[in-house]
Amino acid sequence: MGVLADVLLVAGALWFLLAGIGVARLGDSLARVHAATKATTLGMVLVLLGAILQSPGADGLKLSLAIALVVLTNPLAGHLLGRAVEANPGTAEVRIDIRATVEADETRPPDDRPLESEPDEAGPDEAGA
Amino acid sequence: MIAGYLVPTLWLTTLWAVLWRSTTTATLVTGVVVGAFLTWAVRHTHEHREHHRIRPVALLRYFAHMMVALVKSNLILAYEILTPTDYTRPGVLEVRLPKSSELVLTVVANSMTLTPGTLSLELDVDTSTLSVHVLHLRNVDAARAEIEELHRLVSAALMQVDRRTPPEGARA
Amino acid sequence: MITLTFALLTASTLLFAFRAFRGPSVADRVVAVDAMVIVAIAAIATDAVRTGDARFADAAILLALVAFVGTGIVARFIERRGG
Repeated sequence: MGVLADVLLVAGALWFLLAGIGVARLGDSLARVHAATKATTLGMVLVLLGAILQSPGADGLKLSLAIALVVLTNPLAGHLLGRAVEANPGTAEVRIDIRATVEADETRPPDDRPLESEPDEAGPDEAGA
Repeated sequence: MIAGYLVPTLWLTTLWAVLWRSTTTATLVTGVVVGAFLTWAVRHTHEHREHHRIRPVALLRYFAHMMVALVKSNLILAYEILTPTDYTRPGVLEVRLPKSSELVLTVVANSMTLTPGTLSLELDVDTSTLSVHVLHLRNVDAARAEIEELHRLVSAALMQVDRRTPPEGARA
Repeated sequence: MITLTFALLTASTLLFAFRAFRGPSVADRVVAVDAMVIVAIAAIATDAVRTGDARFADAAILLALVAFVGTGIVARFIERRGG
């Protein structure tokens, strides 16, 4: 039991390290948001499992409350940031290759718009179109 | 009306007991008081809510899908981060989903953040349109299929009960 | 094992700090700072495993809330005024 908990803790910490590498290395601002959100959420889940295995009872309950909060709100924070960066890039390094609209609804009339492929300029161009 | 207060107050009292690390009578009583007060304080958020019935089996299937998706998205991300070449092909996809309630759309939008390579950007409840940023957009159809699948799972888990009055934003 | 965990968490914090200094826009910086706070919560959980007493779990709950709300506020700011 102790060994499993240790392995989970180290795995979670490794995933945080991966998140750090991702955020430091990736060249696209939105990609960094992806990396930070997803990797920290999984890292948190692993650390949670490891901590709960080692401290059962009321302590584990409190910890799981804290980490459940993180798991619930972290994706939302990532969404808010991604939305803000996409709406108003400013000096962020953003690159979008494709913009498309697709239908996932059979009951609606199809949209005849073709797939537009326009490379957006990245870098400090204009602050928010 | 009391039934509407029961579950939130119970939940808040449980949280209260966990935070105070005690289950003495004093803690529980104060917990119930605080919980009831908080539920009363935010009661206006429950007024226009549509009613959904939760189907447990579909809900479990949704959770299982989410856990698999969380692990899968992280593995793909790890591959992207650790290899020196840049595999990203970022794109913004605007998906028009079948008309769903606000709760279903919100859950889908929240879940999009954990599925492989996607991050939800905009949500238009009136037209049931969801905009997502996809990190590896190689095949638009595949991404659309993934989003459709997610929407199907969530709709199966949360069935809308009240269909008599159309939602406010319904403009054909 | 616990030491290894702390070492890895520290390394990830340094990487996030690098992005916090470097990242050209406000959004990059706030992503890094938010991630650092999440690392702090994980560190609290690890410390609870080490000492066997979750005395800082309250702080972890508060940190989780503050990180989320703070990030949300800065995101709203970026959306309105540009970063």
